[in-house]
Amino acid sequence: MKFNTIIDGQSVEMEFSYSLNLLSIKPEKEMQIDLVQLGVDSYSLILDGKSHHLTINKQPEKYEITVDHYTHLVQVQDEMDILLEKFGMQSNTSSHAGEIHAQIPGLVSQLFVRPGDNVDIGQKLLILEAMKMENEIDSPIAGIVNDIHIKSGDKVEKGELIMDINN
Amino acid sequence: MQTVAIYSEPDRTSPHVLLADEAYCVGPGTSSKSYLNVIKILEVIQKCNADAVHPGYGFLSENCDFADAVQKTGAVWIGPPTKAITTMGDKMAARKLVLKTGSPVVPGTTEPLTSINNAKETAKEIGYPILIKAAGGGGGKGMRIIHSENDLKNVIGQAKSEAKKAFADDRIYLEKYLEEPHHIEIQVFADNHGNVVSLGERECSIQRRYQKIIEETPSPFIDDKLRLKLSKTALHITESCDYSGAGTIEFLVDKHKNFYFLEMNTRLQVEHPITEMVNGIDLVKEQIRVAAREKLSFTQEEIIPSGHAIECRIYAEDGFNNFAPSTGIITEIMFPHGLGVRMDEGVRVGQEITIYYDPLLGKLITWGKDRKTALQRMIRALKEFQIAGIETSIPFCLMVLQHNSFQQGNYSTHTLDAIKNELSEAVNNHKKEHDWAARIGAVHAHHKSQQTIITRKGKNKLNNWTVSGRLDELQ
Repeated sequence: MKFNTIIDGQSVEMEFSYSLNLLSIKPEKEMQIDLVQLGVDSYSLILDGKSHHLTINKQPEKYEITVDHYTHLVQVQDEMDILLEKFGMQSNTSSHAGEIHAQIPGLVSQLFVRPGDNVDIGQKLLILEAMKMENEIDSPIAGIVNDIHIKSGDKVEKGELIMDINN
Repeated sequence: MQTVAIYSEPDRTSPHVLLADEAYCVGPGTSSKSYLNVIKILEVIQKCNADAVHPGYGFLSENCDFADAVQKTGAVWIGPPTKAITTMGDKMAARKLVLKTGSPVVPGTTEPLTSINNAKETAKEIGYPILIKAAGGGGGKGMRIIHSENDLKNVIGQAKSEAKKAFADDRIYLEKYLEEPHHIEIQVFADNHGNVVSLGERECSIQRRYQKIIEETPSPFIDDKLRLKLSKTALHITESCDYSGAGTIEFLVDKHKNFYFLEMNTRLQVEHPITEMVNGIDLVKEQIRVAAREKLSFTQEEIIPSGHAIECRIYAEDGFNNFAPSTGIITEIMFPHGLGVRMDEGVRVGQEITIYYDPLLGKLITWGKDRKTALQRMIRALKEFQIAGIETSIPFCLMVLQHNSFQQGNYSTHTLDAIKNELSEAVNNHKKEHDWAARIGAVHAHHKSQQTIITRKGKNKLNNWTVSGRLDELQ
């Protein structure tokens, strides 16, 4: 089975055996894979005899993999994705710059804008309070506030869509 | 001794609740409605007929009104006399008192700033850069660095409003901003029989947002002569405020080894275990002894620290992403063990880390016969330490400890900011096999998520592993 994996823009083509326990890397290298699940998202990986501790978390369109305390964001394309890309089609649409997502989980303690407001780059949009610290969220673009999906006092999760700004 | 815990609703399954003999809920997650809810806590104290109350090291531990109220219920307060908390809690009152003892205080004002002109004059006297600080509390709130007179006006307004919001007290004062200062503190202990003892220093210069991350004792920066001077000054200050119980005198030591009193913490500190490790004394037990009006179990002559101890605070945050807090459910923990390794934790598997409280998950402490041994042990222990489900400061601590400046014991409170980018580079510069492992892990996860969709369709008794195993054999 073929997969493309991308870390920091570096794409690597990988050919696996059907049970995914053997990885062939061109020209003539093979790696023995022994991956066992320990808990909900934690795994033990013995790779060519070297033991690693992995945690795997699915994020939108990618995987967050921690290997022995080092975290990597990995995008995976299977054969279908690779094929689609060849024809210039992408199976996923990416989000646009005006979507404000919560970078951290927190409580919306103050909201400075309303739908219809004009905002500049770097303008204060809201304050997210978490673990006794106040974190200011600024607008990444100039534009008009379209939708606000939260209100003051709401608890938001990491990655949650807070508002849309159209430019 | 029987113990009673209080807890907020989200802390129902926290270790402190599970370990206690009795436990009572004091309200919902928001701390103002639970851990700061004095009326409710006093009710519990009376309901369980508590003999004594230990306030810990957060929330109400330095609140003199609470200390007073506890004692009015008839329970013993495991802490210093209310008057000492009051005096030392007000930063300016503390500065005045310490000046009176003749000990050095960071140059600055002893009265709150009244006007911009007043600020300008004082700033000129002590020389720029200066630091603006809030009289009502610490934690970096209301604190600003000013490099020239032009910045003064704007910054004072900001600092006042921030101080007012944080402490309901907008009094601010000026202090000289020191060159490459070290944060070094002395652990003191006093009983009600006139005995006051110093238990040595802790070097706490590795900080982020004015909060400590890594502490060690002894400090690699100071010599025995300065060590003795700091201890003597700390004892002097402690005696001057009629203290009893555990306390910490914090000093700033500049690069020329001039030292200045910073503040006194009238409670046990988060980093107290390193002092316990080198002295072999249980400080909490000693606090209880003193509260029971017994004599200290040691004299100054008996305090001979042995070896070296380091503490890493394990926070739920991503050190490489501006210390962004991380929440979620802890799905797995593997604790480090072995000679000279101590773990003081407040979390367990299955526990949810919420946005309500300080992100401290636990503290990892190592001891060794010398600094090198303690440091090597800490690096080994951090590598063994695995927490899944949330981001932690474990990888960040590992990078700091392996950096040259820490290895050589050559760091100040400015060092972390200076090396932050180097640390991020180092973490990206990992081994090739980690890269492969991550790619393989992602492919497995991806493949598995695709398969679950397929298997749900048919009631195939063969699981995917058997199917793919057979396919492998056919090749």
